[in-house]
Amino acid sequence: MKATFHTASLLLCAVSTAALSAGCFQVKTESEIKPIEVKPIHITVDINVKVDKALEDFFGDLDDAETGKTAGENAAQ
Amino acid sequence: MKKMCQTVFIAAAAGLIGCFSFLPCELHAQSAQQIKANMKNRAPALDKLKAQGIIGEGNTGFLVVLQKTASPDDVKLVEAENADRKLVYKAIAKKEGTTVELVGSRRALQIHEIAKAGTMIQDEKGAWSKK
Repeated sequence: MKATFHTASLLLCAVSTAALSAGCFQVKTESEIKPIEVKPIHITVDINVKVDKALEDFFGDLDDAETGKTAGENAAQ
Repeated sequence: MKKMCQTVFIAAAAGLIGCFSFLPCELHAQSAQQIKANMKNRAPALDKLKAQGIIGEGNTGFLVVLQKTASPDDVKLVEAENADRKLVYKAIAKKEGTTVELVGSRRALQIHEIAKAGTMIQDEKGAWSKK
């Protein structure tokens, strides 16, 4: 009787450990999915930054002349 | 022999016409410096039209004629400026592996920032307002 009780408690321990482990694994899976969802946002930001840089490279001096003109006109007024 | 000469002439003429019709579409047909110089030359006239509210800066990175009082020369000027802008946007889009529309919308944000007070500006939703 005592041996049966001992075996039952051991089995219960094993089952709870397995259940807890399964719970842990579930949490791990969720944390692995998150970066995949965020990635496209990073790519979009990256493209915008690159495009902004390319536009500044081309239009930079033209824009400077434009804003310089504005500053000059404002000073005259 | 006569027929052969005729065929060669027609082929050569077609080739030449083909080359010239595609040249304006490519940025390298016109150097970046030439485009910049053209833009710089147009700037004073375009600034006047902007100050009068005849044209405005759209949310796609291109100029838009807003008033019917715009003369044919004004329209031509806007078209020439937009054609040059498109060449630049196309080249950047190709280089960065994105679309002309995205490049244009990013440029629109930059233009809106540096635009002079009184310039008509179109926001992202399409509404026009005076800066």
